[in-house]
This record gives sequence, C-alpha cells and structure tokens, in this order.
Amino acid sequence: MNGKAYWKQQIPLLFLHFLCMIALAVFLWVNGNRPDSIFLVLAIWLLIIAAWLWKSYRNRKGILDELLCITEQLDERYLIAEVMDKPERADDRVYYQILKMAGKSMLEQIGAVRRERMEYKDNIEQWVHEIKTPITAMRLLCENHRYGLTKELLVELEKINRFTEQALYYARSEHTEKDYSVREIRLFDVVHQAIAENKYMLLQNGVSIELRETNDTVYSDEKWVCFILNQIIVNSVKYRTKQPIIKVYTMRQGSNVVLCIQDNGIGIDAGDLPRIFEKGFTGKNGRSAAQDATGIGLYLCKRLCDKLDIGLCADSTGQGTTLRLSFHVNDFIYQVQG
Amino acid sequence: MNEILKLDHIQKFYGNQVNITKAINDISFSVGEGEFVGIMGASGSGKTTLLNCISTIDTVSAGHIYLDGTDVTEIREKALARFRRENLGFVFQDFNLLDTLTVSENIALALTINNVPAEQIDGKVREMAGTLGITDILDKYPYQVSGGQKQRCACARAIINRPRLILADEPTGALDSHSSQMLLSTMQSINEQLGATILMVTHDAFSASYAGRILFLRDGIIFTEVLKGRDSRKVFFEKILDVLTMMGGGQTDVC
Repeated sequence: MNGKAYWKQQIPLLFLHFLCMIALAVFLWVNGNRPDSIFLVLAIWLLIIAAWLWKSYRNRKGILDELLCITEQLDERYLIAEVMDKPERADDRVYYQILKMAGKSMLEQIGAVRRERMEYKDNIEQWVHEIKTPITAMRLLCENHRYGLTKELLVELEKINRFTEQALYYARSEHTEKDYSVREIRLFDVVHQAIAENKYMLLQNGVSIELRETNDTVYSDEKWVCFILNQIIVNSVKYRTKQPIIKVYTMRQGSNVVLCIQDNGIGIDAGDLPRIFEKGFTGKNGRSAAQDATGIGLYLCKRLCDKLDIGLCADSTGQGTTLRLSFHVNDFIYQVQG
Repeated sequence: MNEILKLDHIQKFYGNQVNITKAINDISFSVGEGEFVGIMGASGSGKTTLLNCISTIDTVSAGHIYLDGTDVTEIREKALARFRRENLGFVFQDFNLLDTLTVSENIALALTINNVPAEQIDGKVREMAGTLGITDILDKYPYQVSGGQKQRCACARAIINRPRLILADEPTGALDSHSSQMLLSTMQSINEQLGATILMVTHDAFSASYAGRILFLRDGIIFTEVLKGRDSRKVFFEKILDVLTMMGGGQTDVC
C-alpha cells in the first residue's frame, strides 16, 4: 500500500479534527480556562489521533501486503478469491464479493470453452480414426490391382493419409503427454519407417536417398519422431530440384545426437528462414513452388519437438536445406548400462 | 418426474496461501422429485464438499446449483439462512441435537424458528414422531436415548417442515449396524411414503443400497452412476460392490 496516498486520503478527517480542536479551544478559552491547560488538552487529543492513525495504517498495510504477496505466489492468480480469507471490514467484504463473483463467472466461461474444445477435439480424433478405414481399404484395393492408374492413385492415397494424420496430430499435439511411450529407439529404424511410409511419393518423384547409417540410439517416442520426419521428408520432396537427393546422417555434438536431413532442393530464402516454424507461414517458396503449402507442417513439427524436448533448427544456403533434430542423450544412463 | 435439484458444471477450489486443490472438477447431475440419491466415493473424492455446496454452507467456485428453479449460488448471504431453513433439511453424522431440550422440543424447534403457530406444533410433532416410531421417547432428553433413536429424532426435525430436499451426511456413521438398518429403513419409508427427496452422502455400500440411485465420485468428478431400477436391494448391493471394486480403493471402505 502506498503510504502517501493513504495519508492523503486521511486529510478530510484530519481537517475535521483540526476544526473541532479550534472549536474546543475557543470554548475552553471563553469559559475562562488557562491557556496552558487548553494546550495540554489539545496535545493529548493530537497524540491520540496520531497514534490511532498510525496503528490503523500499520494494520491495513500488513493485511494488504500479505494479500498482495499471496497473489504474487499463486500460479493461477484468478483464484485469489478462493484462497484469501474473508475480510473483516464492511467495504472490503463488498470487494471480496465482487472478486468472487468475477472469478466465478470467469471460471464458468473457461469451463464452457474447455468443454467445447474437448468435444471438438474428440470429434476430430474420432473422425480421423473412421476415415482411416476407407483409406486403408482403398490402398489394399490398389495394391491388389496394380497398373498405371492405381499406382498414381496410391501416391494420392499416401497424401490423403498424411493429411489426415496431420489433422490428428494437430488435434493431439497439446496433450502429447497422454500419448507418450518413451523408450530407447534406434534413430535409423525410425528413418526407415518414415521413408517406407512415403515410398510411392519418393518413387514417383525419382528421389534418391542416401543414408549414412549409424547405430545411434536415443530416448524418445518413436511415433512422434516418425511423424516429424515424415513432415520433413515431404517438404524436401515438395521443394525439390531436378534429381532430388535426400541425405540422412547423424552427428555427435557434446551430449546431443543430431539427426540431419539434408536435401538439394530450392532452399529457403534467408528472410524467410527465421519464420518457417510459425503457424500459417508459407513464405516465398510456398507461394511460387508449391501451391499446396499450408504452413502447418513445420509448425506442428516445432510444437511436437518442443513438447518432446527435441531441438529443431533449419539452415539453408540457397542450395538445399538441412534440418537438424538434436536429441539430448543422458550419458549417465549409458554409463550405468555399461 | 419433476426436476428438483440441478447441478450445472460445478467446480470448487480449496486453498491456503500457497497450494490450491481442486475438490470438485466438473460435476453435473440432477435429482428428480421424490428420488433417494446416494453419493459415494473414497475420502477426498469431494463428496462432502459437494453436499456443502448444495446445502449453501459452502460456496462454489464456478457453476450453478438450481433448487426448484432458484439458483442457490446467486442468493445473497443475508437471504441464505432463510432459504436453508425453508427449503432444506439436514441430518448430520453426529445428530446435532440440543442436549438441554427434550426430543419433542428438539423437533418443535424447527417449527418454532419457521413461525408455525404454537397450537399446531404439538400435533405436528406427534404425527411425525408416530411416523418415525419415536412417540414413546418424546419426553426424554437426547442423552437418555440410543444413537439410533437420536438419529431418527434428527430425521424428524429435518423433515417436519416438509423441506424440498433432505441432505444427509453420513447419517449412519456413528451408529451400530442394527441402528443403521433401522434408520435407513426409516429414511426409505420417509422417501416412499412422504415423497421426500433425499440426497445422502455415504461411503458405506450397505447404507447406499437403500437409495434408488448412486453417484460415484472420484477425484472431483462423477465416475459413474448406478440405478436400482427393479432390482432387489441385495442385487443392488452387489452392483454397488462391483463398481467399488472396479474403482479400486473402495474395498477398504466396504469390508
């Protein structure tokens, strides 16, 4: 509480006391009291009022400062009305009631929005699961009747599958913690898996893959990492040049294992580079090279990486782009495992 | 069936200076007129908090509770006592009878507070005592009668004003098994014969089996609910035990 403002607030009261003092002094004077006894009375009065004001200031400051302190310590500050004690003073009670009412209506709003969103999300997830059945059925049909047309259809099916996957992961990315299965995974196993999932697209575009295989293992969630790799591979193909090549290799950097996916595509404009992980950002390439850029893929990757504590960065030198996924490796685990 | 109590997305937070706990996460349900509903759950599941919120002893953090169309969460503090007195009846675990008054005076007190004319009081008390089978102890003091009788006296006091809703918090908690059984049969007959709506919190499966519908609470949400339907009490009891077993942690309360 600001002391200056508090004292300022007391001015009318002090003024009133001052007037009363003058009135009393005059009264006593007229009634023939000696000046020194009048001064004594006034001095005692002044002392009492000063002590009273000082005490109530200290009390008030103590209570309010504590309240402020509690509020600052809270994680969810809007719950202060639930946490604080019910105040004693009549005017404070009104504020308390207002605070409670405000908090209540806000919690209700939040609750309503949260429920709505959960419902929507559940709906999306449900839908994705349902749409996967016809996609799989179609793929089986195509694979059983292979000729020119079905091969092209398979490529498109792969795309449909990828987009539905994307929708699912988007709906889920907020709550990845519910779907973790962290274990030791061999990085190149996941890379193989991601490539296999896109084999038709890679074949159709004549992409050659160069893997410099190592046996590096990391602790992470296979499914999510595979999804991230998927998105990166799709991007490499989307922004390809003639005779596209994708190189995948790993490096050790201190306590990190870095998985690099390098392509020889059209690269990313230096001005766009810092923004590629933003949601809905399509940049120069998105406008000219690929008309179907949505600005969602890399945003999702970044978000998932943040959740999984994987470092993700991109760099481009005009010719080709390299995306680096750095996994933190706890050496201690390896030491213990021998 | 007429809806008498409706809870609409209730939330309740508790806290001291540093920690906040969410006692009730998101609870919605409604109770029809003349229903006997039990609320079960392990300790800490929020069942007593829920009852306190419904009984306006405690305030909710968010959500609405409608009793007979009135939103009790919006009632001003001044009007609360009156609202409670006129619409709710309470039965507590520890009876809360006044030891300095006789049983009949304890029951009559509820009428006196509600300004019922003096000449009607005696008749009403006798009638209620007759229904609950406590006529012969009316002139005794609470410390002279057994726990079961005390609790039936408390029941009489709770329902004599014909409240819209009777709230019972572990009514059999302090009774031996025989008295419990007697009390529960009494409550059942109050429900069936007088058409009273009862909401009972308990963690005992046997007590709960007297109700017509049980809501199971866990971690501040309704985990599931079971209905008695046309089942016998024995079958219903088995059902309740099944749910408790499924929920886990409940077994210790049953055995």
